[in-house]
Amino acid sequence: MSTNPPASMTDAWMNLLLALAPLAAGPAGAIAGPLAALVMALIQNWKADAAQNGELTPDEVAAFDAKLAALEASPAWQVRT
Amino acid sequence: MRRQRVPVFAVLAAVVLITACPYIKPGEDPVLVNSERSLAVATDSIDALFKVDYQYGPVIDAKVPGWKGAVNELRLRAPSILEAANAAVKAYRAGLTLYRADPTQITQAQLNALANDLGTKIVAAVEAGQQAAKVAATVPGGVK
Repeated sequence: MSTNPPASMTDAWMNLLLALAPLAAGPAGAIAGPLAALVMALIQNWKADAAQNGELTPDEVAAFDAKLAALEASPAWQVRT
Repeated sequence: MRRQRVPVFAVLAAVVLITACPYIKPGEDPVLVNSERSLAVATDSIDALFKVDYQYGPVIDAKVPGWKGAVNELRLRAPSILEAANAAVKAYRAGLTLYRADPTQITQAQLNALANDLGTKIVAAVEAGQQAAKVAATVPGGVK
């Protein structure tokens, strides 16, 4: 079982973000800020995931449970009409 | 515009290097650590896709036929896959805790069965995470 984000997965995200970057210069220029924030969030999340080198503590398990529940309830995870 | 891309590329390339060398502390259970780590990566990948779509969906819809449907399909499937994987992690962790405390309380075969179930569900979660990346890669200019 792989323990790393596959390089292809990381590449895909990198390419997506790079593809969206030029939009910042066009009519959708307002996305530049949120896009930068998204990049930073991705980096922080992957760094945190990769830094895990031991079994999660009970507190960390509870934190992941809470995170997953919060994500599932978040607007971004709802079917977009 | 290309000059503006360099810093982002450099930072993300650093992420690839950072994530390429994880290790597991001695005495820790590699099945459990790998599963927890893989589930976290898959969850974050899926979340990233959903957030991109949430923020830029209308822009991307105009450029990528089928984008919205692919993202929404994953929105319908991913929660149950991630929840099943998370539940399997918990079941394996509980079995492992029991085994460590008193190996007579749970057989090796029972622990192996929990590990096998965990493996199946983690693979499904990782595949969902990879599916998120594949959908992301359909954006024009975003595929190499």
